[in-house]
Parts: sequence; structure tokens; C-alpha cells
Amino acid sequence: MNPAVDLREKVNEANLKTVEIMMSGTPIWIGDSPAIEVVPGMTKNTILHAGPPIEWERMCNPMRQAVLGAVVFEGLAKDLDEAKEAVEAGEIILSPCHHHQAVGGMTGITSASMPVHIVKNEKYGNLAYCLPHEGSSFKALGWGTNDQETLDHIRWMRDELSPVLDQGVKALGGININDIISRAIQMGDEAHSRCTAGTLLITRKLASALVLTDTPRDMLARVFEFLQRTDIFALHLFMAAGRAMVEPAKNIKYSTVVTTLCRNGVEFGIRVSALGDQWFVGPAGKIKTSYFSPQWNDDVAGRDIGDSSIMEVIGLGGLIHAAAPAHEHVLKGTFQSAIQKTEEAYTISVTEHPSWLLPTLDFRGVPFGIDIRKVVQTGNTPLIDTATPHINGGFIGSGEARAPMEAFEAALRAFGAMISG
Amino acid sequence: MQKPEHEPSDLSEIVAAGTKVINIGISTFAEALREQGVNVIEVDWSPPRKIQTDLSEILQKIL
Repeated sequence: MNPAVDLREKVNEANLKTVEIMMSGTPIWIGDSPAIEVVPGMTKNTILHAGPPIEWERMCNPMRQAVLGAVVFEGLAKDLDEAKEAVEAGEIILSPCHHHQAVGGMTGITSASMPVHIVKNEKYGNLAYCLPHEGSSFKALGWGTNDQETLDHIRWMRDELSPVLDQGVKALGGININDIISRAIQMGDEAHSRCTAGTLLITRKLASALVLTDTPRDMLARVFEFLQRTDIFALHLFMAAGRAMVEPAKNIKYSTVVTTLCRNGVEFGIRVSALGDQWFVGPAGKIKTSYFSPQWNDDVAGRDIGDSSIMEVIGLGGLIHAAAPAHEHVLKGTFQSAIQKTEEAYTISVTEHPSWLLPTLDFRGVPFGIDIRKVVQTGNTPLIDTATPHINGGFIGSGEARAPMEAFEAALRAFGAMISG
Repeated sequence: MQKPEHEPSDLSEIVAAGTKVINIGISTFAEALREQGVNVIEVDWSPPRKIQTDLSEILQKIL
């Protein structure tokens, strides 16, 4: 056989195998727990962050502020100044969420006593973790604020929200996130920036179980009040599900399928199945933002940040605006532009998901499995849905950004070297 | 150069004449015309992407 044809077939076969492993995963939300009890490698002085690896000195301001907040939250320093001294003295271990089977929204800051959702990929047996969404208010560690109000809210999540969620999920015997995504994208979610339907579907399941428990009513009232005003709550479960789905699809020989897309606010990092845990980076993108208030503009906007782009890795978010015309409207687009963006995503994808279907495209499956060969060939880098942080911390808008071509080109060069070596 | 017998003086005359435009490539131009009431058909096109030689050589082997 012609060696070139043989190689092409090997890559095509490997890519199909990779997406099959991802798509056949069965992510089940099995409970919530303090991070230190479940996250691999977590210690009392470890703080996880979003995106590819980055040292303290190069971190963007929102991420630095969130790190300092977490150091205080864990009682490792009495205030933010002392926290900075501790970090600069090397007393705090900073590590990407992705190196711990975890993902984190925006800054992604997750520390030992913070709660995490636990999602199990039942088919393959692996677990993944994500801090519950902190809510859609201006302040959150995820957005890079670190004042008393921010830390008090995390304390409430740790002491009340997560234990109640855990009780509800366990009473239900777990919640199948695959099914929730499948339904939500037919109800107007693109499952990244818009998760309203997914949150409603999860909330009603939890309600049916929690109402039968002996959880105090005032506690239930606070939990459901949080859920009813947090449309985006489901995102962090979707993210953990995505993380759980991609793990078994790593290290498939000859596969050019992307297994990670993430950002730390400075760099955008990708990983590719056949290239294992190697990172390939390019600059984090500027976000095309719809600001929540006229007081904010591009001058005060941080760059693209967060591990939530795991959603695009599994064919959702920016790849399927066709599922969420209402979100496209928020981004000042049209129904036609939503369709065009999704049509573009098919040009860089390996296949179409058999059960995640898009009603506006006559129930075509979502574009699934980003292929670095096609990205470099077409010049179409994945469109990433995202939220925009203020450069000094805070949630100021919703937007979209492009993954940088540099990362895909670097990965393709490494792949070329691998097959030549 | 001889002037045409009737030269449209402004966009409203062009629109009134039922002008149709085929816009190739950047859709911003189409959007601007559409806002003026002009019928626009869009063709998605961009110049062929120039890929660096080493990457092109890798792609030839695997794509």
C-alpha cells in the first residue's frame, strides 16, 4: 500500500476511534464533596487554576486576585497582603485544574476545602471534578474578586449548597448529564454561555428528591433561590461531564482530535489525543463582548479565560449557536449568523453526534471532535463562547473569542515530528 | 467619456430600480446594503489560505 495513503487511513481510523470513545461516555453526576477528599493530588496548600500551566508572575490580574482570595479562604494567610507574601515565598502550589482530572470556570480557582461536583464516566470508570458555579452576580472568585462578600458566598456553597445538592443527587441515584445535554440543546441552550434549560431540567430533578428529605425548609429555600436565579448553574456540571468524557480518549495513537481547549487569561492551551499531555499554546483571545452596562468597554475587559471551553471540545458552545438563537441575539447576531457559525464548525470536525441533535438544522447531530488537520487546512479555529471579566475582577459581559491558530499549528508540527521520528 | 443617459443620483433611486447585489466574501458589506433595503445574495468565499510550507507538507501526508 502507498505509505501516504496508509498513514492517512491510520489517522482517520484513530480519529473515529477517539470520537467514538468520547461520544460513548456516560457522565453521571454522583455527588458533591470537598475537593481535598476527592481531587487527585489536592493538598491543603494547593490551588488549582484554569488553563494551561502558568506561573504566578505571568498570571492575569483576575486570576492573581482569585488565588489570593483562596489563600485567605483556606486560612493560609490572615489577609490578602499576607497571602501575596505566601505565594511569592513559594508556600502555595499552583497547578492547572486539568492536571487533576478537574476543570474550573473562568479563573478556575479551586482550593482544598472548596466543594466540587463529582461526575463519573460510568462506561470507562473515570471521574472528573468542577467547583459549582458561583452564580451570575458581579462578584465571584471565578471572576477575580476576593472581598469578604465573595469569600462568604464560597463558604455558603461549601457549608450549605453543596451538602444539599449531594443529598439530592444521591437520593436520585445520580443524574445522567448526557441526557440533560441532549434535551437542553433542543430547548435553546448551546450548553456553554446559555444553560437555562439544562439548569431547569436539573433543578426539577433535585426538587423531586429533596422534597422527600428531612433537609430544613429554610435551607432548601436558600438552595432553590440560588438555583432559580442562576441560569448558568448547569454549566459546571456540563464541564465536569466533558472532562470525564475526554479522559479515556487521550493517547490514541495517530489521533489528531483535540482533547483539551482551555485558557488562563494569558494563553490559550490545547492538547491533542495522540500527543498525550503535551500543551500547545497561543495568545488568549480578545473577547467580542456584549457588555452588561455602558460603563464597561474593551478597555477594561480581560482576555479569554477558563476551562469552560471543554464544551467546545465535545461539540457544544461556540460550535452550535444554531441551537441557541437567543444567545446569538445577545451577541448582536442574527438567526442566519448562528446557522453560519455552526456550518463552519462542521468544516473542522470529525463527525456528528448521533443523539445530540440540532432542531434548527433539521435534527443534524452537533459537529463533534475538532481535528487539528482541518483547523490548519481551513483556517477556521474553533469559536469559543465565554464570559468577560473586568481587568480588576468582576463579571461584565458575555461574548465569544477565537482559539489562536498558533496552538493548532504547534500541535500539528509536533504531530508531524512524531510520525517522522 | 459620454455620460449615461440617466445616472442614478442617490441610493434611493438604485433601490427603487430593484437593484440586486451579489456580495462575495465579507458580509459587513452585505449587511450595510441590506439596511438600505437592497436585495443582497451572499456568497461565502475567502481567498485560499496560505499555509506555511512545513505544515503543508505534514498535511499532505495525513489529510
